[in-house]
Amino acid sequence: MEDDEIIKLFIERSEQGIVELSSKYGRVLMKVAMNALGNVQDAEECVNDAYLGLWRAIPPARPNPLLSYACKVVRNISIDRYNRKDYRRLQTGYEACLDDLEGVLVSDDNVEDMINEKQLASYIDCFLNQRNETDQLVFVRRFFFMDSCKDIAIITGFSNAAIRKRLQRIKADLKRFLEEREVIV
Amino acid sequence: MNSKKIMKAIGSIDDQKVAKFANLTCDACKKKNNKEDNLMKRIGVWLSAAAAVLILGVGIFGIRHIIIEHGISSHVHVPEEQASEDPTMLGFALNELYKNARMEPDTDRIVFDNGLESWRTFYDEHNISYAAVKGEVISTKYYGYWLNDENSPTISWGAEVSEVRLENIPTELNKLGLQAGATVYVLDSVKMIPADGDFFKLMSSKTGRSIENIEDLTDVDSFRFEITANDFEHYSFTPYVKNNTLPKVMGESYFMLICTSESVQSQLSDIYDSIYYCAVSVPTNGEYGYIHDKLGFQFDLDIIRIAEEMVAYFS
Repeated sequence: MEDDEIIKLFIERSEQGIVELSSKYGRVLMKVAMNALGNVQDAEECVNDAYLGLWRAIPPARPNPLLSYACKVVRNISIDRYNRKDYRRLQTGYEACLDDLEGVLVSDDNVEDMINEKQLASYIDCFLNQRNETDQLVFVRRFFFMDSCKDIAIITGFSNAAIRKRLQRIKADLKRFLEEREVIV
Repeated sequence: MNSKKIMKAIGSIDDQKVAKFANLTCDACKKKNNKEDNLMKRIGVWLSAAAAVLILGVGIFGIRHIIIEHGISSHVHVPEEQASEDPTMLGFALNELYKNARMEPDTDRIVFDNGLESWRTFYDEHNISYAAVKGEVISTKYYGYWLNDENSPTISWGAEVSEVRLENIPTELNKLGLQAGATVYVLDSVKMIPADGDFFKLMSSKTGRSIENIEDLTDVDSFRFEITANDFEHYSFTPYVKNNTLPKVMGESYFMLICTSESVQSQLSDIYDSIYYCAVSVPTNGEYGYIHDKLGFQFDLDIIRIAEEMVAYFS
């Protein structure tokens, strides 16, 4: 079923919309939640919460593309859950991403005009636009979908080491890119 | 901490990029999927239908379950039909407020057209940071009990919990780590008027125990009341419990969000899992405390103290 048709079902308050959404994107959403949390039960709950969130959001929202919107919702919910629950003993994908990104941004508590997430996101978008498609893929899969390097290696056909090396280079470039623009958090 | 911020920011990157790379699977997975598809075809329509029914059942049950959990019945042991339809509903006043609120162009500031600029002065004088946030009220629940003394009806206890999806996050609030699209729970106006004796306890639906300490307040959404008063008959308790009954406030609204110091926010995040802010319902006539006085509330900016009061009162 096309996204537009699913959204139409949501607007008509037909629960079939959830079924269609689940059928079409459930696997992707589950993957995001699982990557973030590494726990099936929690991931399932996050995906269910995401369905509920979408149910409430549509209407009035008419997201396009629906998949991105749904992914963002489930990602937010999963991260929120991570922050609320003690996952520290577990090596979750989210935690691995946090470790990976440590030091990419400069921090200065004394600076009043700290950048907000939206601005930072636009900088990241701008940065990604300057990269080739493979770099974009690696970055988005790693830090948005929280895939492991191994998973990305399988998807792309590169070796695990090559993905790691590429990620290192992307992060270094991103750091330089942000520093040049005096982006501070 | 920085990496958390960047991870949040990555959550707001361009939708097209996300969509572009969302459905990637490796060749091995594709082969596996194809095998599964072929298997499904071979097994036939019945299995597909059974799978569909299963998905349907899980989906609907899951959603309904969640909705019920957010409904009235699971939280309060008073029949819904007894809920008061009092016209002094807070929502009416709030609606009057919100429809007179507008955002200053290209700023994060909110303007109230009814002489409510005095609020800014108030905040400034008390060194409270604040910002206007555009958000969408997804649901609002109002918990409260009228303690109807014949001569002076007052609200004995009331709290409004709104689930709000934030659309913009002003710079001032960025340090709290929220991002656009985040759903937050906004707790608004909590007040107990000390009564003669213990009239009710605040019970946790989750644990079934009374709220004993501040940690027990983590799940505001699942309070229920247990009336314990012996001299209860002196008063008529009218349950004033509403669920999604603020239709005029539902949907897009502006919120005046206030922040106390970072340390308080830090405490807040320890105390409340999902409540990040104390939202302030601003009076419609420009007079401080108007709504709250009218409804028997006492305005209080310090949610920590409110929480402590609650604990002291109910424990």
